[in-house]
Amino acid sequence: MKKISFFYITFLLILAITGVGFTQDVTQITFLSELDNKAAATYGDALIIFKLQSGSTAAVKRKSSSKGNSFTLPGYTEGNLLTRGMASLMAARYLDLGGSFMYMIFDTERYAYKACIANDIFAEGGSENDKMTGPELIEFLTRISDMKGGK
Amino acid sequence: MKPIRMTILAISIFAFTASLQAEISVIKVEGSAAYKDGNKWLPLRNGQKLAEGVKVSTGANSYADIKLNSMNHTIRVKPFSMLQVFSKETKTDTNTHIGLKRGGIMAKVPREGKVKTIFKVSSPIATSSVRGTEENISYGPDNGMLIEVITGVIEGSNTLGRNNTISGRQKFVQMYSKAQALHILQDVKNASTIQVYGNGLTAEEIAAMLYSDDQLNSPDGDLSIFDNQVQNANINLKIIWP
Repeated sequence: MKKISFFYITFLLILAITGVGFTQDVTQITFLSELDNKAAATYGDALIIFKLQSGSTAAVKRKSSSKGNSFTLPGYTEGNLLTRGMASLMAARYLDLGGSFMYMIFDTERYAYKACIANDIFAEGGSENDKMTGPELIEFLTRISDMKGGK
Repeated sequence: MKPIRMTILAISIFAFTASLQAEISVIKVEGSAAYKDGNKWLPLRNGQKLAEGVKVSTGANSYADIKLNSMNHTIRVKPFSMLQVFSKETKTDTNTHIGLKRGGIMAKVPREGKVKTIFKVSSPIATSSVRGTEENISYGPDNGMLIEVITGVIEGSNTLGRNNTISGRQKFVQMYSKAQALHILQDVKNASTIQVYGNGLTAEEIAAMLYSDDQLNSPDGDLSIFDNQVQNANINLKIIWP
């Protein structure tokens, strides 16, 4: 019995000294670092980062399902290149965005993009058909995080 | 004799450089935050000491509070951010430089009487210099660098050396494609229901802002459109000095 207690105490001490924590998941930091170097982001990247934003830590390991999420877009596969319009529609649905009367009537990428500009998520200029880079996608999520009351 | 001198010199140099290094430490971490050690990202822990030039990154819904020196200069690294921290201090001055690759920080740089403070935050397109200030700074390729003053005074300057000194609720916004920062009252302009112009502009100058060069200068242009465009009006202003 004493041997077992000693083993557990030693194990816990080693964990405490080396600072190995179970609460932090650095896989998403690695994912973000890789995304930061991508010249073209994909719909799959956007799905992962939106899932991270909504609190799913398993998203990076591609273990969580996209079904039932408001930001999922039908008709696209994960390998499709991401456009500003696609990202805008995902954001507009995720944030339940106002700011564009036309978007409220027509739930399309074009008007979702206008709604995102009206809400300062995207800067003016460009088109909903413009492809997004990895750094642009991360910045886009930074804005969404701010709107959600980011820390 | 020579070895003794060399030893004294080596110890002096070591002592001097050691005193230059400020202690960078983690105050609090929430969510997923990491620092780079070689090629690996390792999780940040509360109370952890960090080396000069450390790279820090945060994930979704996460933040890290970092103390930069003994003067209680601190930053909060906001979600989806990545930056590199350099901090030096002596008894008479502090020198902190933060390279913001992406995301945002909130910096608190309290004023300390006789200590000379240099606190700079740089992005690829602009730099902010502060003293006795709280400020929010963010950077991204689409929206550029945004510096928002909470208290105190800051100077924002772009890579061409053009700068603005701002305070109060003013913002410094430097976009990628622009040679100079946007107007410091851009936000006020965007939020107002009437047009806001600078003080002391003539009717011609306002007309020039309202209409394009074609309308103003082309021989065929109809200048009568400017008639009665600019009128006098009484307005009440409440000015709060920062």
